[in-house]
Amino acid sequence: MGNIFSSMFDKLWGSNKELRILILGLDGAGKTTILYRLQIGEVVTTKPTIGFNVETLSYKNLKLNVWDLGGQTSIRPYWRCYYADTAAVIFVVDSTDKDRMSTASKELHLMLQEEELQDAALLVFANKQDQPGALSASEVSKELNLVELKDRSWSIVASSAIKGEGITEGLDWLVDVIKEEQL
Amino acid sequence: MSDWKVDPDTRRRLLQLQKIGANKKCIDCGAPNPQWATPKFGAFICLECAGIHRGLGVHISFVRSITMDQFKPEELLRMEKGGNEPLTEWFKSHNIDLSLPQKVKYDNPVAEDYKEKLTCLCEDRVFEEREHLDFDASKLSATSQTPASATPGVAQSREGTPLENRRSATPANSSNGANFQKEKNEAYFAELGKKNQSRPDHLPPSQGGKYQGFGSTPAKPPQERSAGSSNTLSLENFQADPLGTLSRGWGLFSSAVTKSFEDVNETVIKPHVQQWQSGELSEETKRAAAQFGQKFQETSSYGFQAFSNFTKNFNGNAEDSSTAGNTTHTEYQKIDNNDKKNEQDEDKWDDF
Repeated sequence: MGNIFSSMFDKLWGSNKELRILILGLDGAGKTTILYRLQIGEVVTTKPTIGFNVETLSYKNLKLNVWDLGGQTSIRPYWRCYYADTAAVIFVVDSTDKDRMSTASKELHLMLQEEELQDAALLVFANKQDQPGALSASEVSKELNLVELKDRSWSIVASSAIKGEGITEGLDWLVDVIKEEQL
Repeated sequence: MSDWKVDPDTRRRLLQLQKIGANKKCIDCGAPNPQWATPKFGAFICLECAGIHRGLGVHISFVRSITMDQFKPEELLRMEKGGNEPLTEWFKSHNIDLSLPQKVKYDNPVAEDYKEKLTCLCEDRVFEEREHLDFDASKLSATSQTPASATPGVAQSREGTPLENRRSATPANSSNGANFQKEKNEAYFAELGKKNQSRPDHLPPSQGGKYQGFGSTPAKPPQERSAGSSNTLSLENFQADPLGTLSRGWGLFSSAVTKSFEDVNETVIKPHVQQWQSGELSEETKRAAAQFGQKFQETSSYGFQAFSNFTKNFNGNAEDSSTAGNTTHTEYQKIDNNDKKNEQDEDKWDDF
């Protein structure tokens, strides 16, 4: 029943607009694992992403084009080629990688300065929470200086892509914000 | 911005090192021309094995691309002073089977010692090897857990399905497959969400606590919004005066019902069902439930077939709920699920 109605309303109101979502973060944070966790609900063995992965997924009646861009140092400048028309950025942080928190913070704030991302919502995954010694979401938030963000909807969620935890909570928030602010 | 650049001298040096002796092959699988490295062990690895090393956690192995990442000076030094050969020798001389999975091979006291040895070498200090009386390298096996890895479940669950296999297995273009996949995913995520709800707040997730978040906007905007924008239909009102609150209008109710249904179920219906079950049947409660259903049916004259089905269910159940509290409860849950699917549609009805 739900399907019949949703397709009917989609035709009437055209809410099936495709939304572009970027998954960004330092190398090895878990971006690709999160992408495939979202798309097929399974843990895949990943290799470092050279270039990008892109998958389309439907979630809560929204069609999401999710781009997972490689995080290696010298390919980070290419992230900006994908910024146009981006509804939201999912920034993934390895919560156990304390040494590179400052690098992650720098990359995050640099990215958010970009004109093309001014309206994009920000979801941060404090990932790898299954590992002992992982920083909590609030600790990661402090490291990333998230409270400094102005005029932007943001949220940070503790997650474990390997166990599939926290991902739903984060995506639910993101989809609600997009529906409220951008549709 | 300048730190996105890779220093060409460093890169040239790494490429030179990679062409020397045992560095020409991946230390783990022997694949030729490895372009990745684990500076902690000073060893060169291939792309595939780099993927595995990244999964071990940065406290064990930290992976860099020799062409795409900038090495810190101390990381480059570790590559210079180390290399694949000394590490292989070290493993051999300590009876570590080289064919062991990386998870076992690099997460044990012997491997830990090698990192310390390499650090000493780089810092011109004398390395004193420690005794590991409780550690027996010959007992390491592909499935064994080393003392260093704390939680047995984690090690196994970090292994996954290879990406290539699942690519060919999932028909991405077939709409049937996509729909099925969508439903499967939604069911899967709903289940995960439920599991998470029952976890304690005060523990970190690695110890069984709840995965939580926060941010600039409330984590659960729908409920908050419905409470804020429609003051007449708050849960408190609903509990205090169910009929009065409901009769304030279909429009309000329909917009809020899906959003607060879960809470209504938790705070109003469940306790009442329990009451019915426990036999302390309040006449008023029963009347309220019946009228609640009736109201529903009246307003469904908006003419949507779907909704009259919904209310029939609802009304029917409300009436025989006094005898079968249990079934009512499951029925409510079903309706609840249905409603979630229609959530988007419901929002549209407001505009109608």
